[in-house]
Amino acid sequence: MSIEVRGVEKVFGGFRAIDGVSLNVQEGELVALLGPSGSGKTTLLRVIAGLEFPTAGSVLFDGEDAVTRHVRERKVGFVFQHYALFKHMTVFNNVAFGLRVKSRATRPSNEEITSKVNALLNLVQVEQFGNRYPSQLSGGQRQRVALARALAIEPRVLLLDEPFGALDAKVRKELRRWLRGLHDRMGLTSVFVTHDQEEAMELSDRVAVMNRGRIEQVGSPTEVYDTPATPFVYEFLGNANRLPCRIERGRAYLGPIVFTEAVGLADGLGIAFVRPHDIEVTVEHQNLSIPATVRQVLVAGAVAKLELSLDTEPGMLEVELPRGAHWGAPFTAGQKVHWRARTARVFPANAGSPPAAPSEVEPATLK
Amino acid sequence: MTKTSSVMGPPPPALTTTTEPPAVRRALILGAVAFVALFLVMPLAVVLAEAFRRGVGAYFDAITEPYTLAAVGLTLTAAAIAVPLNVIFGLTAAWAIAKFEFAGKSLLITLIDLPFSVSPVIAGLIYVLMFGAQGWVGPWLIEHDFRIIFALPGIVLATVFVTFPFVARELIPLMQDQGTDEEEAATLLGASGWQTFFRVTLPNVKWALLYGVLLCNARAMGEFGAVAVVSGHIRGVTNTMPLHIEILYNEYKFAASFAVASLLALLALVTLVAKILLEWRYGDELAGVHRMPRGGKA
Amino acid sequence: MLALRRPSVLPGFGPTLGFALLYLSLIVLIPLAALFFRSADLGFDGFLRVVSTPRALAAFRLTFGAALFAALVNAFFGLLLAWVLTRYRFPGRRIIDGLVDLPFALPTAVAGIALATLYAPNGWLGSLLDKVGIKVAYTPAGVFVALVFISLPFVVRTIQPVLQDLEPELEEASASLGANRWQTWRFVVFPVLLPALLTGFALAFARALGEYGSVIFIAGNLPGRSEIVPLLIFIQLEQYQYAAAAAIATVMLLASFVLLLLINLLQRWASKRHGE
Repeated sequence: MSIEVRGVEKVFGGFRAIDGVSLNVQEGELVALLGPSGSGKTTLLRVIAGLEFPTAGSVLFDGEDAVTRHVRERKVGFVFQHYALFKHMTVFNNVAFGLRVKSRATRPSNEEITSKVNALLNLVQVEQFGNRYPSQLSGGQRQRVALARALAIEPRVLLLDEPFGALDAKVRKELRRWLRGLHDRMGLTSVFVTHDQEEAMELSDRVAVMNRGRIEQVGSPTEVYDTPATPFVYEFLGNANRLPCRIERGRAYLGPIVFTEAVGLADGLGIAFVRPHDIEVTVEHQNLSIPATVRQVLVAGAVAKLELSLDTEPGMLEVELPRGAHWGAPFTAGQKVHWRARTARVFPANAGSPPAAPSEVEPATLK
Repeated sequence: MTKTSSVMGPPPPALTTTTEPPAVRRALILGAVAFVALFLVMPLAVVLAEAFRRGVGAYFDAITEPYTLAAVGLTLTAAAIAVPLNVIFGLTAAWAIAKFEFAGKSLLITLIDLPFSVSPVIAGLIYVLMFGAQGWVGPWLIEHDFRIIFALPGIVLATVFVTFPFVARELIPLMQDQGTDEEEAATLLGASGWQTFFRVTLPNVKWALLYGVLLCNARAMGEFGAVAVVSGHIRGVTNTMPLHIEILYNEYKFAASFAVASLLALLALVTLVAKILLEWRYGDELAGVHRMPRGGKA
Repeated sequence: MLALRRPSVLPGFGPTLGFALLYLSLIVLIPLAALFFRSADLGFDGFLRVVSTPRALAAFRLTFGAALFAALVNAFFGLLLAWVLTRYRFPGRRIIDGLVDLPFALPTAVAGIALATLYAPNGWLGSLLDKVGIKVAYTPAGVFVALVFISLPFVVRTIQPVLQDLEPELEEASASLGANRWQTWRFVVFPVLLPALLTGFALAFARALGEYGSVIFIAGNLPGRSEIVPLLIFIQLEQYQYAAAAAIATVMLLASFVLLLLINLLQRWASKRHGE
């Protein structure tokens, strides 16, 4: 089933949690809502689920306005951030809940419920824990039970709120791959919320990057990473060096040196973004390269991190080199070098909104 | 909680830099124990000693005397009406307060606690001023031959007032802590409001509810001041157990008075033991306001 | 109403809030309002006259004085009890911990006759005190003893959770910085406990002010000497002096409200301090 979000706004008190958002999710697609806390992504997910009522706008399931249906009848599978498993029920009873509360006319027989729940427990690989209580399970197991419970009602869409947020790094990676595999097999239209760009990149078909209640960019993971639409997206999706520059006739200048292309931008001040791993460092001068001095060298696992100070401009530059490249002729602190950006992206200095302040609390968790 | 090292032994090594010298510790413990013995143990002991002073036979005569039985019956009746009323109130108030956001919520919570800070005598007085012969609706009630004051309804009203907050204040902080995730999950899975309440919310608060009911009941059966004002002390008719204790005492029937008192003391002890068991076994499922680490309430 | 609340998918807000408000109004708010209106019947001068008779003034003095004194005693011993119960392990600790709630659970009439018998001149304690010339039962001292009993749990139960939550690291840090045990207690532990101690004190004081059942058996109830305010209200009522009873009750109720406000402020202060 497809989901269409049309011009949704949500205001809490005076706070605009969602500020006019539109988004289309195709049948069978897995879409990530990615953003910092306070960006409105959880609120948007709850609006899609029907747990929050939008102040304006609408949500359509297969072209039909979902607002006219009560949450109970929307058939939305929702996995809560902290799972919201029923503490006093066994795993089996948690998964069976959605089947047992059906009206007598539509309720499956006890045998059907048992076999269906067992099949779901098998699917999420917790079949041996049917008689346990949620408190007796590990985080990853609870997560999978929550998923099985959501799937039991044969939902038309699956919504997951920070599905791996409460898990440790190793379990998170395993579960991510497993969930991707499960999605590929079942083909259920799914939307999940995350603040972890790696998770969004690895898991989703498309990513919607959110900031301050708006969607800044929607696209495939490679699209948003390689051609970020706004400075915010650039900075949020990975480490970035920010270099103030001048734009003249389609070129960006760093001091007197032409630094990179800036086609289509008006003349004036700009900011160039360069990822640390997109920088080449050489001892000799090359075409378009810029002189700098090595301040610090840190070797961390597979990469060597250099900190350069520019000779002609104020400011520092962070560089990541594959360890192999650094290995043959290592750089040392104090050394004079030249650097050049393999690719960079220039925005007008006043473009886009700055990232939301980290202290802002996700409005949905405000009680 | 379950550590049982003796005070006489050496202190556990982890505490050596942050505890008092043994002599100070012993003196503090002794002071505390003496205070408890003087103010808590002695009064309890005196009740039992006085109750059995005339022997076991006299004790049972006293508690099976018709007026005593009538008092026991009235006390049970009043509690059997007042406690369920406050349970219904506690559940509805807690549902509205804990599961929804609305203006004036904290004022409402304060007002629910209000009866705890009102003197029992004043609690009785307000109903006399409302429903007594000189009261606002008293004359109308007399005309229609419906008695509230000096009758069971007045006793129930006074009891409801003094036990008003017990159930609600156990449920509200707990249900606020639990949030609305599980209820929302149930709704998304297709449960109706009643199904959500009975299958999800109620099981989550059942021990706290029982806890509140226990305290509410103990207070309901033991209430003296408020009930004394509205009862009129009609023996065999509007005399509750605490009032009966007073009458017997004032008639110098000390042994009988203490015999009835011992029944209420027993109720108090049973309540205390049940309370401790609940806290010990289901502490996590009670509101974070008792002996648990500080929860939502200061 | 709709604008005043956040919409939610959960049902039942209207009926539950409606019932709760109706019940609260019928049982608590309207009857309490009746009390204020009835005392207003007297007019301002009449009101002042009724609440400032020598008998009323003596009752106010005794009630507030004994309640204050009892709350002070309980602040001290409550702190001691809470400390001993949370910090030390000794035989019988859990029994004592459970017993602390006895005054909450024991009906006040039972406590009243027990204390009266205990402190009567021929009672277990009264006979001992009699030998050194101290009379407790049927004197103002009896009022004080009863009030200590009924307000005993408040300070203990407000301090205990704070004490349990106190990180041992604070005291270890203090010790490592060279403070002796008394300095650690005075400058590190006590300030943390202070808001809870004051809250417990105010709760105990409020409870003692309104107490009736446990006091009347031991007090002797001599007008002007050992008669407490709640009893005076009761007596006025029995003599059909409704307006006078309402006036005196109004004064007590206002005192309760002030205390309730104070307790709320104290709790807010306490939770701010603990960064919640």
